[in-house]
Amino acid sequence: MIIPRSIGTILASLAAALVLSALACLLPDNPYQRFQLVDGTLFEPLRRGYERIHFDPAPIDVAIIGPSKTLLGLSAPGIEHTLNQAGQTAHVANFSVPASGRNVEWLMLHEAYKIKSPRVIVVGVYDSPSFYGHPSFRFVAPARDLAIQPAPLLHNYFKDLAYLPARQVLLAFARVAPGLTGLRDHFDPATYANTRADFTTGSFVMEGKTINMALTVPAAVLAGQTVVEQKATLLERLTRRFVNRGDEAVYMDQIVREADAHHSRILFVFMPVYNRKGELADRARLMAHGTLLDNADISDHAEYFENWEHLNHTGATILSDRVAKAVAKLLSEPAKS
Amino acid sequence: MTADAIKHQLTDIFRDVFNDPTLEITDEMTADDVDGWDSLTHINMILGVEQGFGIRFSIKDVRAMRNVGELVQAIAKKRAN
Amino acid sequence: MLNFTSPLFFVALALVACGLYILPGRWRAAYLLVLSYGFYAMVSVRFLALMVAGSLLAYGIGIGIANARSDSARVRLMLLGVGGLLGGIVVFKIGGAWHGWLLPLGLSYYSFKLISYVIEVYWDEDSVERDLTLFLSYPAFFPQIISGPIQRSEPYFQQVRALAARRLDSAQIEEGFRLIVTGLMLKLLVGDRLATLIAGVDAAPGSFGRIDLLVTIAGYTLQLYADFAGYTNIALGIGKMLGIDGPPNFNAPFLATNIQEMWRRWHMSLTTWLTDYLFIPLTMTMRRYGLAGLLLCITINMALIGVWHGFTLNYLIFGLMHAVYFSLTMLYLRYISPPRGKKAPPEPRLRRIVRTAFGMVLTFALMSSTQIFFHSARFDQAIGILRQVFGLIPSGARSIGDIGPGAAETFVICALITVWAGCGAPGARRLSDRIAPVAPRWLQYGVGLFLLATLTPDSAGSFVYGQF
Repeated sequence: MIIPRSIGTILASLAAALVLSALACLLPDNPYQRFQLVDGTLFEPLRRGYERIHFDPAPIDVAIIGPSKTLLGLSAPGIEHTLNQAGQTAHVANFSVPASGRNVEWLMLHEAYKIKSPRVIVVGVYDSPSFYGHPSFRFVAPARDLAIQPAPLLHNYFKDLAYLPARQVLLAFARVAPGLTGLRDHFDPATYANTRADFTTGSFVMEGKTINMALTVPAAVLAGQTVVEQKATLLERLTRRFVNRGDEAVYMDQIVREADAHHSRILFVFMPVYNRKGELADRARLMAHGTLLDNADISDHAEYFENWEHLNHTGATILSDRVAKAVAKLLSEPAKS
Repeated sequence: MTADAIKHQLTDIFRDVFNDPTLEITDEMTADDVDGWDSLTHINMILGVEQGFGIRFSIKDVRAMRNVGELVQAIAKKRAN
Repeated sequence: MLNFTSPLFFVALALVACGLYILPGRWRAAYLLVLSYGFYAMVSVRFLALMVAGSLLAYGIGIGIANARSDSARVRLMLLGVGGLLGGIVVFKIGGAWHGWLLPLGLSYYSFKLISYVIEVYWDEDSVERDLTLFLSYPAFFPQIISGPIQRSEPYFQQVRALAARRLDSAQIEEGFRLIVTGLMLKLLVGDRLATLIAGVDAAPGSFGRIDLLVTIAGYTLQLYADFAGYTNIALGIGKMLGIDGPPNFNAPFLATNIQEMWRRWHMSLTTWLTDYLFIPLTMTMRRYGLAGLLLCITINMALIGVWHGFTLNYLIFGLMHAVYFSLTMLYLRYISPPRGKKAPPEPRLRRIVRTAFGMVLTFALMSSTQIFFHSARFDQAIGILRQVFGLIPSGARSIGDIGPGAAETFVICALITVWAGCGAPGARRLSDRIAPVAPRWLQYGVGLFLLATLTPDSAGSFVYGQF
C-alpha cells in the first residue's frame, strides 16, 4: 500500500515537533526561576526553601521534609528554640510542602546538600502513604531529574515529561527577559522575609481556606470530616507491583541514600491523623534506616487537631517539642561514618 | 417587451440600487461581479424590479435566479402572463 | 477527550479517519452516523435522544411534504416541522437563560440545520432525503455539532454520497491538517491569552483607566474572533479529514469598511441562514410597506441574531444596536454616499486609502461597542462599562500591564496577530511558499505543533460559541 503524500507530511511534522520538543528540554534554565514557578500556588514554600538554602547565610543543621502534615505540624523556630534551651545551637529548616509525593521531598534534600550540611533529616511518615509523585515536581525539578528517574514509568512520568518542553521554553525566555515573565533572576530579601516560614502558628490562607491554628475543633466535627482514600487503578497497581514499586518506595530509597551519602541521621516522625487506628506503614524498613518517633498516642486527642489530618497550634507545639528532644539526642551522637 | 427593452430599464434600476451610474449589465453577471451586491441590495433590487415592471415575484422565483440573464427571462415571463 | 483542543481527541480522530477510508464505500455514511452519535452520547445520552427525536421529526416532515397532495398540506407540515424545532430551541434557551438549565450540546446548530432542511424541501420537493442513515448523520455530524458551522443539507448529502465512491484525497487531508493546526494556534496561543487578560480586567473594570478599558473592549472583538474563527478552522479541518467540506464562517471580517459588509464576513453560516430563511421571505412579505417595512425586517433579523445566542437582555441589545448600525449604513450607502463603481471618477490614491482605513476602524469600533453587551454577563455590568467609557463614573488608574508581568506586551502581540488573521492573514500563503525551499511544509506544521505544545496557556480550552 502506498502512503499518500499528505499522510507522510503529517507524520513528518509530528516527528519534527517531537524532535523540537526534545531539543527544547535541553534549553538551559536558572534554577531560582524554576522554583519561582510555584509562586502564588500552594507550593510556594518550595521557593522559600530554595532561598533558605541558597541565599540565607544561616547554616542548616536539621532539615524537615514532608507534606502539609509536617508543614503545619512541626515548627522549625519552635524546635530551634527547644534545642537552644537545651544548650545545643542548631539551625532548623522546614522544607515541607502541601500535597504528598516523596520525589519533591528528595529534591529539596538534594538541593540542601548542595551547599548546606544538615546533620539530621526529619522525615514525616504516615499510616497510609501516597504512592504517587508530587504535583509540584514538574515545576521545580531539573530537566534531567524529570527525564531520567530512578525507576521506570512512575505515576506522573509522562504527564511531567509532556510539560517539560513548555517549561524549558518559558525558563529560557525568563533568563533573557526576567521582567516579562515575572521570574526574578536576583534574590529579593523583602520577598523572602515576607514569605511565611512557620505554619504552626497564627492564621493563613491555604487553597482558598483560612486556617486558624489557634482554634480547637470539637471531636464530632473532626470525626465527621470525610477521609478521602486514594484508590489506585488496576494498571497503577500492576505497574507498582511489577515495574517500579511506586513513587513512595522509590524516592524514600533516594532520600535514605542521599542522607547516608552525607552521613546524616534520619528521624522518621509518625504523623497520625485524628482517631484512626491505622498502623504506620513499613515500620521495620524505616527502623533499619533511622530512628522512629512514634506519635500514635496523639491520634486520640481531638484538642490537638485543626482538622482530621492536620495538627493545630497546640498539637504542633507538643510534637515539635518531641521532635526537638529526639533531634537533640541524635545531634549529640557522633557523626555517622 | 423585448429582452433589450427590459435590459435597458433594468440597467437604470441596477444603477440606482447599487449607486453606480456607470454600471453596465450583462446576462452572465452575478452577485459576485458587482460591488456591494449582498442579500440586502438583492432584495432592494428585486423590489425595484417589481415596482419598475409592475410584476410580483415569489420567494421561489427569487431563489431560482442565478444571474442577470435569468432575471431578464423571469421578468419577460411575468410580463407575458 | 471530547474537546477539540485535546491531544487525545486528535489521536482518536486519526484512528477514526483511517477507519473511514478502510471501510467499504457503502458503510461510510453509517460509520459517520455511529461516530457522531457516539461522540454525542459521551456528552449526554438523554440529549442524544432529544437530537434523534428532532431529526426523526424533520425526516418525517420532509417525506410528508414530498408526498403531500395539496399546497395547504405542505404548508401545514412545514409549519409543524419548523414550529416544533424552533419550539425546542426557545424552550431550552429560555430555560437556560432564566432557570439555569443545561443546554443540550449543539441544540441551536443542529436545529437550524434541520429547519433549513424542512424549508428547502417545502420550497423544492426534490430536496427530500429518504435515506434515513444519511439523513440522521446530517444534524449529528460531529465536527460541526459543538459550534457549527451550520451546513446546508444539499452540499452535505452530496458530499457523503460522493464519499462512498471516493478514495482518500491526499490534498484534502493535508488542507484539513493545516486548518486544524492554524485553528488551534489562533485559538490556544492567541485567543486564550487574550481571554486571560480580559478576565483580568473583568474582575474589576472600575479599577482600570479609561484608555485601558477602551483597549479591552477592542479586545472583546479580537478575542471572540480568535476564539470562534480558530474553532471554525478546527471544525472545518476535522470535517475535511473525513472528506466533508463545510461552509466558511469568516471571510476576513476586519477588512469590512462598513457594518453591512461586516455581516457578509462574520459568522457567515448563521447570517446566510437567517438571510435565506428569515430575511428574504420576510422582506418579500412586507414589501408593500416600502422602506419602513425593510427597516422593520432588518430590526427583526438583527434582534433574532442577538437572541439566538441566548434569551437575555444583553443579547437583545447587541442585536438591536446592530440593527441601528446596519440600517444607518444601508441608508447612507443608498442615499448619501457618493456614487461608486469602476467608471466613477478616479479617487486620489491617498484619499482612497484614508477612506478605507477610516471605514475599517469605524466598523471595528462599532462592532466592539456592541461587544460590550455581548461580552458582559449582566446588563448592569455593561452599563457600568459604558458609563466609565463616557466618563460618567470615575476610572481607576490601573493599566493592562498591571495585570501581570508581560501582560501589556502579550496583549499587543496577540491583538496584532488577531488583526492580521482577521484581515485574511495577508501574505501567509506567499510566505509559506517562499520559505518552503528552506523549511518544507512538514517542518512548518512541525514548528506550529511545537509552538502549540510549548506555548499553550494552562487555562486554555473552552470555546466561546460552545455555549450557544
